Amino acid sequence: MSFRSGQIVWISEINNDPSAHLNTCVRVTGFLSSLDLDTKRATLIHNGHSIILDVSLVESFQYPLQTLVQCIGDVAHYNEELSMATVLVKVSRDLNIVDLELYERAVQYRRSCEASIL
Amino acid sequence: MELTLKDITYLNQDPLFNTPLKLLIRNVIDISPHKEFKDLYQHYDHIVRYAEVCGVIVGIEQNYYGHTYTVDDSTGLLDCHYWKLMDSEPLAFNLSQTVRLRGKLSDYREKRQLIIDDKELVENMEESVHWVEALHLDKYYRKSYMLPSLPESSDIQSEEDPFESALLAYWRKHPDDVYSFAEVCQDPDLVELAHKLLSEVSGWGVTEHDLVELFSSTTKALARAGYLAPAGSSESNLYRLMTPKELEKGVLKIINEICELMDLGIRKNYIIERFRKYPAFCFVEDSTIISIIKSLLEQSVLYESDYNVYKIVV
Repeated sequence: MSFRSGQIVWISEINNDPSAHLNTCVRVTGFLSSLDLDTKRATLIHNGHSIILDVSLVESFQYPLQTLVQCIGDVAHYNEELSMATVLVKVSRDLNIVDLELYERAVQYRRSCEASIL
Repeated sequence: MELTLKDITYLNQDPLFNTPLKLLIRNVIDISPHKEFKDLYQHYDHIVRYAEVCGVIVGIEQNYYGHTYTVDDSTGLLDCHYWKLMDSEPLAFNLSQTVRLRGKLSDYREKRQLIIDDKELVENMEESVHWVEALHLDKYYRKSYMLPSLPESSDIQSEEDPFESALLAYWRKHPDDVYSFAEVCQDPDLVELAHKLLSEVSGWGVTEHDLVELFSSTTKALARAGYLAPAGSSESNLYRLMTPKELEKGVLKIINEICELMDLGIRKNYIIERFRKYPAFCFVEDSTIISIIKSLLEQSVLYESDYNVYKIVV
């Protein structure tokens, strides 16, 4: 497991360009659509795109389905057949009180400021 | 260079000096240390020392002295250290919580860290608000600010610094005693004055570390000015009061030693170099030694036989 900062990335961005994100530390946000505590696997959905979460390292990943969840972890591998990446989660949090649309605008603003600086 | 209270008062003219700057962790890591002042940093045209970050706790370490929280705001990772007030003090935060931390910038083992002065648990959305605020405020931090130049400080006596005066007065009450630095730091009147002065220059709480720093820097300033002399080995941190007569005797002893061997005047630079070889005078700075020579000239104990060359009046 790496000790790097999790870059904010939308699920669609990972699935559209998996090679660029493989083995990087990311921060992904989405709605929890499935959770299997036996296999320690979950699925996150955002804007029609899905990602698999490997939550074996997280002690208490027990959110109700449809919770808005944000996870920081490493993109471990990409499944070509399912067209979904797997993120090995190290930290997760419940974002249910966050206005997702406002959050997306904040991220967009941040990215545009950073692009203008660079 | 060690910061003195006079330096802090001067740098206070920049409003950002005492403000915890709202920064992204990437900016905190990129800030460069100030070339002259220890524990200060250069952010654009401003000299700064405090910062505020907001992010998710992704790592926690505990040891005997405190807790270290690793914070991730998606631009970088920053270790934020909190010194415990009590041995049994529990952790303030858990993994995955969103926190806002304010504190002093510091470098430890070539790694940037934040020494926490103020901490709070915040709502998740606060993190996004912090990004926007940090990016917006960056425009103001970039605005150029030039500190006005200092007046000539060569005539300023140490008595003009209130804490230096108070510390010197403490030592003058105990002229024959040897005290350790730690003992002096316990004097209640000095501690109260230090608290009062630091509160005036600091925008927020005075820590134990700030008090110790003030005592340490002022003691060293008095040693450089020739008012205090180390007593004991360099590791013992013991000091005693030094008198002007003692300093003058030191200069005269050096000149006498050479004059006994040959009838030559002694150069000022040689006097300074030899003077500092004595353990009691090792901290005394050049300007103090030069002022002692000047005083001996005025008393007609020495005369200038050539430019910057001195002999004893027989």
